[in-house]
Amino acid sequence: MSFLSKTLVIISILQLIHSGYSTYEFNQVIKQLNLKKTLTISTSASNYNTFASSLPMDIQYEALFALFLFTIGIFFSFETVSYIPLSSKKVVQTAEYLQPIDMNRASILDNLQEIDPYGGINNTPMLTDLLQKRREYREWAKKNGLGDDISDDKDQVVKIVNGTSDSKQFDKALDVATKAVTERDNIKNNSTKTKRGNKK
Amino acid sequence: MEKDNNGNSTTASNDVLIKSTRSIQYNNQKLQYVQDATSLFSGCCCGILQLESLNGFTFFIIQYVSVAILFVIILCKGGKITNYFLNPIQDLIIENLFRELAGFLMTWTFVYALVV
Repeated sequence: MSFLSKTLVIISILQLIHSGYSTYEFNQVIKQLNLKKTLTISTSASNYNTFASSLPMDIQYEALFALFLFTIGIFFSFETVSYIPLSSKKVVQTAEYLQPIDMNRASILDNLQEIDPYGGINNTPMLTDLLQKRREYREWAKKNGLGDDISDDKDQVVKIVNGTSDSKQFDKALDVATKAVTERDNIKNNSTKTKRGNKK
Repeated sequence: MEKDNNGNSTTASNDVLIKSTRSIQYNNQKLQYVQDATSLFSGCCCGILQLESLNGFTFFIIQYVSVAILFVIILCKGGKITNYFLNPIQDLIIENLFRELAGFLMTWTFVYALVV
């Protein structure tokens, strides 16, 4: 909501409250003076015995003016559809307040921002091809000179399996893992021997 | 009707274009917001003016139709209505009619009883 629309809405609400309180006071006075007919279904003008004591015109105009200002304030609160294009950081305003329905027109803004409207689902880790993305990143990094020290996944795995990996952390982890696996195998084999016993 | 570079139309006349539901929802939300706010406020006005039975309902119909017309004039500028709404008459007038009528009636009776 813009500042202008906020002021208009606040002013209209104040006008409404003012006119409402004015009618309340007016009705109290009229009731005390016994100028009001009650319990009849009739038009509002003939609710009052005399013409001079019908609801004053300035209160009526105030209420209608409040309604008018309110609708104008509501319509001013709309802003045009805005987006941030890829090439810059500034927000660009289109000329329309509403979004067009036809898919070929509605996807113009999505294409300008390269947004996938179902990206929340399409880009979850379970549905993305991670190796493909890593390959793409590596090619882009090589193109832009960001460094060549990221080796291929396949080479890394081969090095670990052959035991010729460069990093020491991998070697340590490999040693620990092999020890654990051999221990487990020993325990398994020993337990089967004691359970079965020596068959003769 | 979309055209390619040589000026030949690429969409046949009996093709049905896909509509994006996100845009339809967005437009209907904006319309409903305007109609809700104005109907409630005009119910308060009607109660303050102390309008009775049929006068009040004509007041409602007048403000409802005029707000719909204002909406079309101000917010659909630069394009036709069919660019933004699937069935214009149904969406603008019939869809939210009873919803706004209920809100109008609520504020009308409330303010009337408060002020009398």
